[in-house]
Amino acid sequence: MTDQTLVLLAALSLLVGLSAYAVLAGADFGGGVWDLFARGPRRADQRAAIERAIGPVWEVNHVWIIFVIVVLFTAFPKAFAALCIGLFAPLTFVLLGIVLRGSAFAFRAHSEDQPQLQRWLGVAFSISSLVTPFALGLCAGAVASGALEPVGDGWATVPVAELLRPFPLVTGLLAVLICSYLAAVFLTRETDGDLRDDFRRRALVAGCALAVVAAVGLVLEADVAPEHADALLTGRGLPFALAAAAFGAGGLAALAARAYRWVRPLGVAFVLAILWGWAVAQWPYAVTPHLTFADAASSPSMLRVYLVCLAIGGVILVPALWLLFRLFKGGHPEAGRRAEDRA
Amino acid sequence: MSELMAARAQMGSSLAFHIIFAVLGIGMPLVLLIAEGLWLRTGRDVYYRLARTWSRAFAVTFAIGAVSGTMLSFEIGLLWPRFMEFAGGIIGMPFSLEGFAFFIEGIFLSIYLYGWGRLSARAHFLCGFPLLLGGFASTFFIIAANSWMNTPQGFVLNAAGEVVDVDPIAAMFNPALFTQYTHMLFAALVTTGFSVAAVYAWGMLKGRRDEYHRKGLAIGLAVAGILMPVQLVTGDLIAVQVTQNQPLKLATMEGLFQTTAGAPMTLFGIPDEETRTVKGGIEIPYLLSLLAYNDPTATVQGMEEWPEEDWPNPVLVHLAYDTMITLGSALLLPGLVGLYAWRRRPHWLGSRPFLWGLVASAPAAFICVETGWITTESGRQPWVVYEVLRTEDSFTTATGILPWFVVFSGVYILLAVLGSLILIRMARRRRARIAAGLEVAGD
Ligand code: HDD
Ligand code: HEM
Ligand code: HEM
Repeated sequence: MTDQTLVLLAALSLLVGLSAYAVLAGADFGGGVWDLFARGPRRADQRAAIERAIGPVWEVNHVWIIFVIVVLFTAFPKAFAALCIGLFAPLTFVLLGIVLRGSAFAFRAHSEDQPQLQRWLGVAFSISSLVTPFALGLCAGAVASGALEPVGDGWATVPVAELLRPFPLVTGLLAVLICSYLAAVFLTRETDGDLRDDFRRRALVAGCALAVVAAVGLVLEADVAPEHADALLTGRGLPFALAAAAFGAGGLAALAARAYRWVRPLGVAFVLAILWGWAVAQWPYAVTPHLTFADAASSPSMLRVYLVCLAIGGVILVPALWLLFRLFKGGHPEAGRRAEDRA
Repeated sequence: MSELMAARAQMGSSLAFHIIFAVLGIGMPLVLLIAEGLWLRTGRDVYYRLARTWSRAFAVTFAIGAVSGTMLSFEIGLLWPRFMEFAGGIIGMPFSLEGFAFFIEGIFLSIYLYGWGRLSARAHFLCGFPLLLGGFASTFFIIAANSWMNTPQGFVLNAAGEVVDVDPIAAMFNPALFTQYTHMLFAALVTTGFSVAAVYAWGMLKGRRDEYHRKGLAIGLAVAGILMPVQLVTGDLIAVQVTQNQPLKLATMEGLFQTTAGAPMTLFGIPDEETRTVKGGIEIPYLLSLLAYNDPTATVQGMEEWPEEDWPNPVLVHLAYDTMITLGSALLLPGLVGLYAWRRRPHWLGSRPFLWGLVASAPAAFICVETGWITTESGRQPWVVYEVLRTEDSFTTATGILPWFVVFSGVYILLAVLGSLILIRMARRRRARIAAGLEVAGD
C-alpha cells in the first residue's frame, strides 16, 4: 500500500467514527434538547420516551467520540496537538458538556425517590445536551474558516472573540439543529399515537429551521471560507450537497405525509450527506489551510499497524453492536423498556 | 500556583478520581458473575438478589467511570499536547485498541443491565463474560501506554530530535508492561472484593445479619482473600522490574540517597534533600538489597548517582510507596483470619472486630491503589516519557489552566457527592421496600 493510500484510509476511518458519533450520539444529544423543550399535555410522556430511547445505548454511542480522539492522536498526532491547543476553550466546553450530560442522565435514572434532585439533574442533562453539539459545531466552523494559526513550532490559541463570529456561531447552531432533527426523527419510530405526532411536529420544525440555517451558513461560508464553500458547491462536495438537499426535502415530505417507514433512513442519509460533503470539502487539510492530513500523519509503519488493529477490532465490534441495537432498538415502541418497568 | 503546577495537579486529581471507578469497573463484573453463577447453579434467590442489586449500583459507578475517563482522554491532549504529538505516533496502537475494548465493555454492560428478564438466564449470564474481558483488555491497553512512559522503546530519536524507525509492537510490549499490568489487574480485583465485603460488614454491624448480608460478605472476602497473596507476588515482581529499569525511581521510593552495599529498607521517615538523609523512619537491615537483587549484600544505587535536577520529589514518592507496602501487607490479614475462622472458629466471622477490620479494608485498598499510582507517576518526574521527554516540555501553550482546574475540581466533587448520595439512597430504598413487604430480604 502506498503511503497516500494509508493516509486516506486512516482519514476515512476518522470520518466513519465521526459519522457514527454524529448519527448515534447526535440523536442522544437531540433527545436532551427535546427534554428541555418538552411542552404540552404530554410533556411527561415525551420525557419518558426520550429517557427510554437513550437509556440502553447512550454509553455505547458516546464511545464513538473516544474512538475519534484515539484515531486522531494515533494516526494524526500533529493535527491532534494543533486542535487541542488552538481550540482549547471550546473543547473545554465540549468536555464539560459531555461529562455533565452523561452523569446527570445516569444519576437521574436512579433517583426516582428524590423528585427535587431529579428535576435539577434533568435541567443539567438537557442544557449540557445543547452545549456539547453547539461547541463541537463551533470547532468545526473555526477549523474550516482557517482560524487556527501556527506560531513558531506550535500553534496559537484561537481567541474567544474569533470564535464568536457569525460563521462559527452558525455552524454551532447547525450542529444543535442536526441533533434535534435526528432525535425527533428517531423518536417517531419509538413512540406511537399522539406522542408520535408530537415528535413528528418537532422533526418538521427542526428540519425547516435546519434548511434556513444551512442556507445562511452557506452565504457566510462563501465569505469567510471561500475555498471550502467552492469545494462544497462546485467541486468535490457538490454531489454530497445535492444529495443532502434531496434527502432533506425527502425527509420533510415523508414526515408531512406520515410515511414513517421512510423517515429514519432519509434522516440518517441527510446527516451523512452533510457531514461527508463537509469533510470532502475540507480535504486534504486537517487544519485549513496550514496542515494537511498527509503532513499530520504518523509514520507509515504506525498507520499500517493501526489499520490492521482497526480491521480486527471491527470484526469484533460489528456483531456486538448489531446485538445491542437488535435488542434495544427493534423498532417497536417498547424496545427500550426494562422488564421491571413493563411489569 | 504556576500554570504547569495547575496542570499537573489537574492531571493527577483526574486520574486519582478515575482510578476509583476504573477499579470497580474491572472488578464488579467478576463479583457479578460469581453471584449470578451461584444463582444459576443453586437456584437460590439470595444470589439473584445480590446480582440484581450490584448491577444497579454498577450502572451508576460505571457511568462516573465513563465520564471521568472521557475527561482524561481530552485532558491528555488539552494539557499535554506535545506529549501526545510525540507519543501518539509511537504508542497510539494500544490507545486505539483500547477504544474497541471500551465498545465491548459498554455494549455488554448495556445488555447486562437492561437485559434482565429480556434474555434467558443463561444468555444473560454469558453476556457477563465479554464485560469482564472487556475490562481486562482496556486495563491492558491503557497500562501498555503508561508502562511505555516508564520504559519507552520502539523508536529512534535522530540527531534532529525527530522520531524515526517506529515499531509500534515493540513500543507496546515494553519491559514494564507485564509487571505493571498484573499488579494493576489484581489490585483492582482485590480492591473490589474488599469493597463488597466492607459494604456487607457494615450492614452486619448495623444489625442486618441475614443470609443476604452473609453471602454478600462471603463473596467479596473470598475474591479479596484468595487474590491478595497473588497481589503481593506481583508487587515483588514490579519492584524488581523497577530496580532494573528505573533505578533512580527505586532509590527515591526507598529514600536511599547514597549508593550502599547491603542496603537497608527504610520504612517511613522524611527524606531530606539538604542533608541527604532520612529523618526518623524504621530501618530494616539488608532488606532492600535482598528484595531488589535477592542478595543481602548487593549494592543498590542511591539518588546521588543522578543530577539533582532529575530527581523526583523524594518525600512524596517515599511516603506514598511506604504507605502502599505497609497497608498492602496488612491487607493479607482479613483473608488469613477469615480462612482460619471459617475452618476453626466460625463465630469469629460475625464478631465486631472482624467486621470492623473488613470495613477498614476497603479504604485501605483504595489508598494502596492511589499511593501506588503516586509512586509510579510522581516517581517518574521530571519526565513524562522516562529519560526522553520532560513534563515541562510537553505542556500546552494555551493559557487559563488555573480557572479550568478550579471548575473541574468542582465537577469532580459534585460527581463524588451525588454519586455517593444516589448509591446510599439506592440501598435505603431497597430496605424500605423490604420493610413494606414489596421485596424479600433473601432466604
Ligand atoms: C490493592 C492495591 C495494591 C497493593 C496491596 C500493593 N500495590 Fe503496589 N501498586 C498498586 C497497587 C497495590 C497500583 C496502584 O496498582 C500500582 C500503581 C501502578 C501500577 O501498575 O500499580 C502500584 C505500583 C507499585 C510499584 C511502582 C511501579 C512503577 O513505578 O512502575 C511498586 C514498586 C509496587 N507497587 C510494589 C508493591 C509491593 C512490594 C507491594 C506489597 C506489599 C504492593 N505494591 C502492594
Ligand atoms: C489511573 C491511575 C493513575 C493515577 C492515579 C495517576 C496519577 C498521576 C499523577 C499524580 C500525576 C502527576 C504527577 C506529577 O506531576 O507529580 C500524573 C501525571 C500524568 N499521568 Fe498518570 N496516573 C495514572 C495512570 C496514568 C495512565 C494510564 C497514563 C497514560 C496512559 C497516565 C499519563 C499521565 C500523564 C501524561 C501525566 C502528565 C505528565 C506528568 O506529570 O508526567 N497516567 N498521573
Ligand atoms: C491505569 C489506569 C486506568 C485503568 C485501569 C482504567 C480502566 C478503565 C475501565 C475499567 C473503564 C470502564 C469504565 C468504568 O468501569 O467505569 C474505563 C473507562 C474509561 N477510561 Fe480508563 N483506565 C485508566 C486510565 C485511563 C486514562 C489515563 C485514560 C485516558 C487517557 C482513560 C480513559 C478512559 C475512558 C475514555 C473511559 C470511558 C470509556 C467508556 O465510555 O466506556 N483511562 N477505564
